[in-house]
Amino acid sequence: MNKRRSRLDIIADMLTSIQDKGGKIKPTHLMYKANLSHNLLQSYLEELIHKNMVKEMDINNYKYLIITDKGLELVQNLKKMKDFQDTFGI
Amino acid sequence: MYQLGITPDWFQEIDTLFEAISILVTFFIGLTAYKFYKLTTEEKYKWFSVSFLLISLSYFFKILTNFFVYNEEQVRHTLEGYTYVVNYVHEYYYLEIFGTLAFRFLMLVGLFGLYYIITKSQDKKSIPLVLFLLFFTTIFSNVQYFAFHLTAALLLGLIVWQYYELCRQQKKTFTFCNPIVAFSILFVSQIIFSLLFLTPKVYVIAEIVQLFGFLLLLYNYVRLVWK
Repeated sequence: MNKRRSRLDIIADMLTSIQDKGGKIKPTHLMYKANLSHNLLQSYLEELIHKNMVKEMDINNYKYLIITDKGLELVQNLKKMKDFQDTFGI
Repeated sequence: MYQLGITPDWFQEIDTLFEAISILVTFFIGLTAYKFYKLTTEEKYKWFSVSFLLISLSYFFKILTNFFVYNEEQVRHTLEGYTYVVNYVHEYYYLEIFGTLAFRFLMLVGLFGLYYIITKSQDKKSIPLVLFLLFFTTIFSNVQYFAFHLTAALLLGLIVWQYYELCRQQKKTFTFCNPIVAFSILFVSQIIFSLLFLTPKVYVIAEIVQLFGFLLLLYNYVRLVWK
């Protein structure tokens, strides 16, 4: 059975999904990629936008979510933290 | 004479340099774990950080004590054809004792903290008992120095065992990229330290082995953080 994702795991999955799509993604795609319900996605997005990790932008009449430099830095730090945790077995 | 170990004269500055490297390695790892604690507020990072910082602080006390011990005044006297050496007890004497005991106690508590975090133990009730026993061991090591080294070796051995179990579960290979190698070397160094009664050369060998263990930890750390 898969372990339940923590809040930080979900944030990492969301930001990594945006990064993997070249830094911008449509909200619906993000919902599927990060495996979240609509309500959960909205709640996490509000937090990420409030903390300047992600910003919303209209491109050709479509709403896109763009990862910011701060968001990219967090992804980098979370990857390092995961490696640190795995290496030191904590 | 009260002293940390039997340090050959030519090695007195070198071992201080070795301890300084140990301080830096453990401080950097502790600081990084603290950074992750600030990011996640997960307790395990906090205690992992505290454990490494305690080990770092313990080596600081060792350097401080080395400084006092190495600067102890020794005067040679000749009486009826016999030459003997007198160590003058100065005002720093009690600082030497305090420094040595602080080094040993902080080191043991730091190692116990690492063991506790790595095993993901939830048994908080036994912590006061273990801390008391470590304190008692530290005091006893004032009489029999090897009590400290054997206890440190025991804790390091348990850490290595836990890493071995983790590697087995995750089917990892034992390379230099795994802290099991670094902690195994630190374990061996403590065993060598406990054989100090044989010859002063043992101290030099143990310090070099210990340095190698810390340099491997540094290698692990650099690979993770600066890649």
